[in-house]
Amino acid sequence: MKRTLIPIGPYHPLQEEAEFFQLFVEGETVVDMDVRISYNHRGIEELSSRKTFDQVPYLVERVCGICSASHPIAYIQAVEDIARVQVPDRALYLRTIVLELERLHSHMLWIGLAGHFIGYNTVWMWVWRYREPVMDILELITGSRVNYANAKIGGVRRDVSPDLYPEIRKAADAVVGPIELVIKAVRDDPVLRARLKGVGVLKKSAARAWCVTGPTARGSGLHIDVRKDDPYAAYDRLKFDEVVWDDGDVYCKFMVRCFECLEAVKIIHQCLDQIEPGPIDAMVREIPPGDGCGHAEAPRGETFHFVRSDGSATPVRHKVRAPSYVNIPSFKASCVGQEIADVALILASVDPCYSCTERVAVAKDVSTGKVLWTHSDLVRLSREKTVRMGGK
Amino acid sequence: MDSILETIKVRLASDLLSLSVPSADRAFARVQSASIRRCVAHIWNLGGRLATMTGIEVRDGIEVNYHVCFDGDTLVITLSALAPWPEPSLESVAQDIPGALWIEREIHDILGVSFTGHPDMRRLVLPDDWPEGVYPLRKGFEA
Repeated sequence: MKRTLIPIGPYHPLQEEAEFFQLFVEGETVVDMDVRISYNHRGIEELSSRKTFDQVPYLVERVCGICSASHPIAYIQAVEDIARVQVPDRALYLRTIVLELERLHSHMLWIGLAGHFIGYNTVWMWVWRYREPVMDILELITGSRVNYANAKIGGVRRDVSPDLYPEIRKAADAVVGPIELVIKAVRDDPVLRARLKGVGVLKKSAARAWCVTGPTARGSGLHIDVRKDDPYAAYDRLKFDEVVWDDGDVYCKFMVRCFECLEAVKIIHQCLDQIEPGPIDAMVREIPPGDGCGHAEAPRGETFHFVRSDGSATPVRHKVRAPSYVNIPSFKASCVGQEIADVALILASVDPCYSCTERVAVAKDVSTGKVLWTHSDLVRLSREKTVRMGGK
Repeated sequence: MDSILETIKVRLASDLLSLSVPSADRAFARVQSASIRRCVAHIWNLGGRLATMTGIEVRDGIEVNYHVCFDGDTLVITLSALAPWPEPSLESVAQDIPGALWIEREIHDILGVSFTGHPDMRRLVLPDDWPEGVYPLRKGFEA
């Protein structure tokens, strides 16, 4: 059969950065794929070595607009590792609250996008509406909806008044109903189930081989969660479940994210129950020479930071590895053998973040090089499939 | 965590040059450059997950650090091997671990370490028209 190259990208109508996926297809079936990245390399690792240790958190929170709490935390933990800093308890709880609010808003963003990809735009709009109060609370706590500038080496920058606790609880509780509704809809709606079940399976062995992390790994039956495996912030004092589903398809990844939202609400309540008045910052005077590794469970998976210090005011080397950098290459295992109409959804199922990796995909005729499919074509194909299956 | 470190010490044997354990959940090991693939494979087979790799330019060459997480044992171990001047080179671990394919290509792009045996050494982060033999993260690079 004739083999065709389908390019998706470099520019997505839906996403803010460039990334280029090349799908090799025979008929309707994907037989191979390739990813090209780095259309917008920002040189953050190099920039970091020109900043002081204290300035770097504000740089790395700009690695990604969604994971803007997780990246600074991973970096700060690497530095605190080198300097052996004892962070006050109150600061640990405050960090945890912001990290879990971040998980809530990120997962809800993804659930909305997944709805959009399969042609359920109502899901998209409603879920994003329920996400807004979470953003408002983040603004109330940190002063900003996106780049929080909250965590610092040794603690956090702003305290939270106990007057805000009821507001935080209220906003967290408000997402429970809508998320339960989504879970029920996905379980019960035959068309939604059919679009998600058995699609884009990433087997457990492949998940391990490609070193994937986060909901992508936990949806494939791997028990990997930094919050449990190498507890940081206040996670070692909290009771919550590691959500693991075994089948590796888009359905499992969907469910993992939904149930993690419910766990996040539980964690936020426990933090507010346990938090006590006290200092929010340990004075850190200097960073001694040494190597430090820090990692944190961002909404998309583990973000890993390595820092080397020579005792001066700036890091000698700072390595940032965002979760999509390991999750995106696993498409090679999950897309092959699938229909083109499902690809948009499979690509979306790892919640790919272009600032994490920053790369594209396009459909070209291999012999002529002519562009055959664009990303919007693929989204259209995906929606048409839902209609064919008896959806709206 | 102690038992996994003991096992690692036994497996790496004479390939292990030095080991420092600054805290209960972190370890840093220097290993023989020539046996890096074997060392990483040992650790991988013990259940470690390769989180990523870091290339750092040092006086004698490019030092490549392999960060491996033992998720069930609360341990992050960093293996480090030196790729000496003038032509830094190490054996590719991506032959055994697909998760290392991208990061080896990236380190090759920006620091010029060649990973021998890598199945697909195309450019990853540099543009197609970037000049050959110019490595942007090396010291002395002028934009």
